[in-house]
Amino acid sequence: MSNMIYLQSSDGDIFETDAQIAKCSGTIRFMLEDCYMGEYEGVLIPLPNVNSAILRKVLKWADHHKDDPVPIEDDGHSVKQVSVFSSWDAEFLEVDQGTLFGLVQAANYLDIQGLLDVTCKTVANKISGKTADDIRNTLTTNQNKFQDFI
Amino acid sequence: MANDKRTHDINTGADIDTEGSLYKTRKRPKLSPVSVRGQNENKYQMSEGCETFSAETVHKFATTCDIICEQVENGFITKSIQNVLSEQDEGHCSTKSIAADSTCENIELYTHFEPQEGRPILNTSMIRYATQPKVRSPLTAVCIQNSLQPNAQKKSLPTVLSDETSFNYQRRPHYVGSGIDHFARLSYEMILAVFQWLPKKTLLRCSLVSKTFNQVACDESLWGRMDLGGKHLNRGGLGKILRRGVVVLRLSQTKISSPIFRDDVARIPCFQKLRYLDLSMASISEISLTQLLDKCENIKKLSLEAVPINAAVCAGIGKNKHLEALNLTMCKGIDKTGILHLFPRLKSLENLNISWTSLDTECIDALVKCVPRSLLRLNIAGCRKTLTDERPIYARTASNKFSVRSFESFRLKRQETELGQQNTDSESLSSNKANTEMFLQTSEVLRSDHMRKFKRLEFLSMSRCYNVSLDAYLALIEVLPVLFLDIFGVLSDDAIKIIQYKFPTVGINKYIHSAVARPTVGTRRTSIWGLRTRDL
Repeated sequence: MSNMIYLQSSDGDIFETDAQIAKCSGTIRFMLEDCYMGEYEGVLIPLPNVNSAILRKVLKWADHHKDDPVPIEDDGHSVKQVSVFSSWDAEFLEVDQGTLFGLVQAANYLDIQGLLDVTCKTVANKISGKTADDIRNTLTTNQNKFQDFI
Repeated sequence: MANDKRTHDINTGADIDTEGSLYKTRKRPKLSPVSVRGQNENKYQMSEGCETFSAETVHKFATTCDIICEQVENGFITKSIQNVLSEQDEGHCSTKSIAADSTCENIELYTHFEPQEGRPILNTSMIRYATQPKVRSPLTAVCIQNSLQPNAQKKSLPTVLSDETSFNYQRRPHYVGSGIDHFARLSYEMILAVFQWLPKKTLLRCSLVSKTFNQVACDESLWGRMDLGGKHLNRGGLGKILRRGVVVLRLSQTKISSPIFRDDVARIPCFQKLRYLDLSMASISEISLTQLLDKCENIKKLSLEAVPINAAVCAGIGKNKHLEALNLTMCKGIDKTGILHLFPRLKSLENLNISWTSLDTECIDALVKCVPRSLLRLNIAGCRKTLTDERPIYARTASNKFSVRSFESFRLKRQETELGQQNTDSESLSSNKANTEMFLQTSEVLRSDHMRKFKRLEFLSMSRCYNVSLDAYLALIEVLPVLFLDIFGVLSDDAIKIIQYKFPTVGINKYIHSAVARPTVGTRRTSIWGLRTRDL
């Protein structure tokens, strides 16, 4: 049986999604199970920190990964090693930096460990192999940062 | 004029771009026979002719860059490479990958042979990139240059290539930012989540980017595991590393320069985080080691294999009261004072490997007196002269209410003829179960009266304990149901078969090497005591 719920982005758009898919987010799962005591058919959850574009991406990711096995959380490190970086993920994350960092933020806010891992790893890949100057130029900002530089 | 034209043909970007590769060429008004150079200070510059382009250099070139040659008909590049790759056809390099591991980014190939009419020296169909995605850093530039200038121009050429002229291309692309500081949107924890995917080298680079990055990159959670095995640590280096809050540190075979601390030693706080330290076969002075151990209180597992130590080092080890495993194999310089300082506070020591340390009789006596009751596994092999019939020792765990004693108090009334000579090379250990007894044996302990007390012994190694008869072993197993018995180099194959036949449940000669307290066992070379030391 499918329980449809509704997610409202910061832009006011409402997304309909399966509760099982939405539950990959720790934040939403917590809300559904604790605030609505398991009876969450058709509820509307506002997500003021996620805009529509990002939420659409997140839901796409969650839909693709809905059948993934739940990571066994005994030790943070072992979980990290298990998480795989599939080609689908790589393609999914071929986005501009604004979206990528938006996804990192959303994954953190929504508490989606898998998405947080792949996005952070993608950002890390962008950093690795560059010099400090290059990192400063690409990922952080402009000349103002030089004053920040120790 | 014809020459000029050809030069132009070869050197125009259009000609080469038809190959669909990334490289470009630029007209180069100078003559240089062959120049191959790459990043990382791998400079190979040949001044004159093919003779100076030694086979060794070509080989070095070939192993540091990644390029494919096809049908190079003229020029000594072919010839030189042929010297190395002798299986090549005469005059041809048919699609041959010279190397797989690429570290070079710039390669320039020149030849000063004059081309014959209608026969190019080198062109892009002859040399092209290795464009496989597996190549770690594919070449970014190849320049092909014919040296067709007239002799008049030759004179003005510098004999050594300067950096500006030999580098035609920027090594790295310019990164142009969007002007938006994306990282400013992320919290400290989220930057940390990104950084935990980075290798240590990149982390160091990141710490130069900005204050925020510096703060995050120095976070202790990123520096928990360090593998510096086989590296060289400069003066003060170890102190800096430890200050990052390393928990698992592998310094196996590392050369550590003294002094290890640059600052005033008294003002350095203790390294509370350090738990697992592998200094096996490291080169570190005794003074540095003493300083290091003075600052460590919480080490759980320590390996000082083959490191020279003294009594002060022993006292330093003895301060780590949570020590569980200690590997002192082949350490020189253990004396009675050292042993007396070592053990009194080690109340949870379970694994001790003190083999091949040339312990004298005094040391053995001291060891028997002080060895902690918590001990489960012990390796005391290599006491060739001192562990004899006259001075066998054994220790028991507290569970049996026997304190550690020297064998003197259990002295045998009469000597058994088949037992005991000197030259004992013994090792005994019991497995890791709680309350398992251990003992270290000499030949004489095999007397059944005494062996009965070791009911929980699971593993006994008596390899190369000579002069112990088959009957003695049979009597031993009868009273002492060990699970594993190692008796390498003692009995004949037939005798071992007899034992195995009589006691089929006993595993005989299953373990060649002792694993007691050793950090790296088997094939997992980069983990110590089963703990990962490297990044993912």
